[in-house]
Amino acid sequence: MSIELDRLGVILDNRWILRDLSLTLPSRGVVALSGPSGCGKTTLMHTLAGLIPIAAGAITGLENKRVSIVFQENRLLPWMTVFDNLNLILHDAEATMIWLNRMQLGPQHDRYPGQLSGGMKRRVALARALAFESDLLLLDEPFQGMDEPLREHLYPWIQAASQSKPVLLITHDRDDLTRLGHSIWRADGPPLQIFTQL
Amino acid sequence: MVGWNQRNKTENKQVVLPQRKPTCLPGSLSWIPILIVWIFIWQCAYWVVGKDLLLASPLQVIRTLFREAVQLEFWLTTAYSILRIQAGFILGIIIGSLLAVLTVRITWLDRFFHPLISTIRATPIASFIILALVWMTHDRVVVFIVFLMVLPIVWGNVSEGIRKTDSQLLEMAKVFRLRKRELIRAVYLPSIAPFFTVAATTSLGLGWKAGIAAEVLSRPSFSLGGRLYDSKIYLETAELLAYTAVVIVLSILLERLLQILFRWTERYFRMQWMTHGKTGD
Repeated sequence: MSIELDRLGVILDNRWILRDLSLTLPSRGVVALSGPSGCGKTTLMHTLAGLIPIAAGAITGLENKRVSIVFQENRLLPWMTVFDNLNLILHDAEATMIWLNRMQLGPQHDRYPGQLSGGMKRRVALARALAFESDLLLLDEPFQGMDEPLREHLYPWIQAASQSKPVLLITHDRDDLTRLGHSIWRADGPPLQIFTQL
Repeated sequence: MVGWNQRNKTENKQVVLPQRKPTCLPGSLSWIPILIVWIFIWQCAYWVVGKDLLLASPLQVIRTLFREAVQLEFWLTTAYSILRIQAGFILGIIIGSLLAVLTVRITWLDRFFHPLISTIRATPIASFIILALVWMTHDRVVVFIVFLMVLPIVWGNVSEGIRKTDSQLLEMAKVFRLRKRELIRAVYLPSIAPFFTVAATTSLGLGWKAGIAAEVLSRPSFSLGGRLYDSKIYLETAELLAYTAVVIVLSILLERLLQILFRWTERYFRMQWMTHGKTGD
């Protein structure tokens, strides 16, 4: 079932960030969203994740659904190892190690986030989002700090996730857009307007 | 879980420490020469003053301490004082923490208790002691006064710790549907712990001072404060200084004990996390 936004409105700091936004997310596949910084893309993502209250309109198709997200920031617990950060969500040690190995983070499983490079932390955040069983996957610049071969290694995992659920990917990288996006949307704002659909 | 002050292990990094000049004493004993110098200054002051009534010599104080230490009453006095003060301290820690959780969650409760806590903070401790002497038995006065000292500090710090818990981590916990128990153990407790540690350490020292002051004024049986008061009445300066030294040493020892307790708790939580976390809890 697809997710529909009907004349959605969101106010932050007395300002409409989303206004009369209507769109439909397909039931599966990657929607790649690109646009200038501050236009409201992240607000859209947080609204879909249920973190920002809706001021107007409605979202249908997300009722009682689980959402998974790679935030703009990594949001890892600094006092827990990489393993514990992921296992906290999965509650399964074996699955946790499988996902860490998939992200090429097996040797770093007992390190703390503060001991990792930016790209490694990003991969832990990505592993957490991919491993969490969800009905919608939201990715906000998931490949920050990663080089080309690593991105190539990670693309299939996102493509695999998009076989069964919608994936909304925010990126400024042309390669990410073309390699991953089944649909490529361009955004402008605020208030956020999604005016091009390819 | 890493240290509660959010330290990060650096065992895999090569750390080059600045070279220190070699000393004849190891670091943990470097305070001994300083103490000897201060005792010498004290002895000089004793020679200058020249009156035992005004200032006892270090030797007189040590002799008094040894004389007292062989008597059962000395140990009973020390034990009862510790018991009273620690009872007030533990009560303040428990009620202060619970109150912090409640007032952060319920706004009207925060508004209700805020004036009371501010009043406790601003009121001179002597006023409370005198009031408490009217209300309750002498033993309870000490417990009550220490409780009043500890409560606002713990309440303030724990409240701040809860409020300063990273909202981004809380959002993450919400999206990934962390259970309430996990949320408390993985997000809230490590965030609050540094605030709690500071509150407990600070309030323990203040609680000791206030507790001894309360004992001086209320004079319950078997109390260090009571002995200080008696020394003043009978002009026993050496005994006064000896019991003051006992109070100082006990305060330092209890603070160290608290630090050890925090380290054990931290290790326990880390072990709990490793065993329960990996099996799915």
